[in-house]
Amino acid sequence: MNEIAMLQNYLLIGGLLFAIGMTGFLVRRNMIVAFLCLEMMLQGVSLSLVAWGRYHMDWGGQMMVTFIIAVAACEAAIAMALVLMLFRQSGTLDLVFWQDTREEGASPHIDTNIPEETEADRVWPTLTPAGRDPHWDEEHELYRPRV
Amino acid sequence: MIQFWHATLLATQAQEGAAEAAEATAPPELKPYYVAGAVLVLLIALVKRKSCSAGMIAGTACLCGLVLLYGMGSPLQTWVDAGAASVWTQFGDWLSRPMLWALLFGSLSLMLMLPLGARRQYVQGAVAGIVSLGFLMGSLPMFADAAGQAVFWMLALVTLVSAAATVTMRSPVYSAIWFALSLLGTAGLFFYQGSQFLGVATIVVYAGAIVVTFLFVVMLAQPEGQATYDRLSWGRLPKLLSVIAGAMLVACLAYAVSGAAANRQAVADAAEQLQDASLPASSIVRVLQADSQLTVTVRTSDASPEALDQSAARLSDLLQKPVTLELLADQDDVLHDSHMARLGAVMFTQQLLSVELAGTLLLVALVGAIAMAIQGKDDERADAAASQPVTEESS
Repeated sequence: MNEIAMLQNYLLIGGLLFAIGMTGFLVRRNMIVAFLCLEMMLQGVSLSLVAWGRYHMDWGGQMMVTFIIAVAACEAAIAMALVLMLFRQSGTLDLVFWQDTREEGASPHIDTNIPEETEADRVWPTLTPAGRDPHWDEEHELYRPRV
Repeated sequence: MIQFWHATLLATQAQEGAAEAAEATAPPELKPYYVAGAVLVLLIALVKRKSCSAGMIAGTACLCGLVLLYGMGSPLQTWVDAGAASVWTQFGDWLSRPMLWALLFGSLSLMLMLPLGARRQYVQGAVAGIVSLGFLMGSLPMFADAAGQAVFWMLALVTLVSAAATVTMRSPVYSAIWFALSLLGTAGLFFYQGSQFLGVATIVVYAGAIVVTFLFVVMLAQPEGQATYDRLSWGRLPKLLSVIAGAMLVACLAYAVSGAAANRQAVADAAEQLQDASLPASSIVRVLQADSQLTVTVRTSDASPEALDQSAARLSDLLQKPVTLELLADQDDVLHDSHMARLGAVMFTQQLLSVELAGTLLLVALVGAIAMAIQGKDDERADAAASQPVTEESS
């Protein structure tokens, strides 16, 4: 039946989003990327909730997702403030800097085999220029008729 | 357990296999749910632990063995008696499921694409990812209409590819932008489900505010040049374990999802068999079961209670369970034309307290974030003032 197929499809896509987010959260060392993966997990859960809401003809699914969006916004604000504070103290966004908070008995993570920075890595985000060039009247600008 | 997979792939072989299994001595059923759950627990416990002590590994292995035995539902002796061949046939049965191959290729692709990989590995990972998506498409049940299926798959592909790209990008700015694209895919999926408010809310709040906040913070906290830690992860073993943990999670979810709609499917099949004009299978919108009594809600214009009772009686005969039919209340109709009005009505009547609490939470979060930022500035000013008095006094 179409409804059942839709439910199973949506639940699986939501589960995949959650799993990809979980994998990213466990692997990445950049605080901001880890937080993005956290938000992705929330999105996976939202998809599942909406699917169940539609399947059972219940408004609860969509209500829950509305609150998830509100709470995620609050969480993002606080987390970004915390990340900025941590950056001020450590000078880096690396989670390895704070690894002294690990469990007792676990050995520290030491970077071995750091990959070389290739030419492809040496790229910074740029904005493509957009819009028209400003109007440049050479005579007006260079000779200044009104002093 | 086996119904969902065979229904989508090998329907005839399922019937033959079931007949053969019934004839021979029934082998113990190795429920993959328990296997996957045990391995998942093991991996999540190990993944952040840089050093795994031998005792911990032994202990977790014993735990997994115990869970395996429990999941098999029979003591070890029966398993030995039934012979290893039966387990191998079940294993071969697993290998024929596209979901397994989808997860294997997906894990391989994420392993290759996540940091610690060179350029060419990224391309290989992307190819493995495409193969995995193909298997995934083959393993999911089809919609009734091809156009709907195509639209859903386009949205889902955008979402999943962007999600994988978010996780594997080397620059946090690119990650944020891919995440915004994944949010657009999710919003499209929300629109496809008929939840229009959530689609717009996702785009406006999530992609428009939260991702922009992320980008501002990246701008303020930008390292000099490309950071090494963006090209690294926590190491090869944690990376492998995390990917396997993610795959196991999806396996557990897929297994749980496959049994989700048994009641509804049964009722829909019965309705198809009835061939009742006043109760088409497509009008069934909700099936709830309480103590083996089914309550079926239908959305239909034929509202006479006698017709409903008649259909309910015939359904009960077919399903061998007491069935009550009721009409879908207008206020419960998620797919109604005036969707936004009804969502607002529910939000401000049934969920009023939650809405007020959410507003208070937003206020508290705002105050907290500003307080943290101001305190940081005060600390900086205090540091700067503390380092100056020497020069001021001397001048």
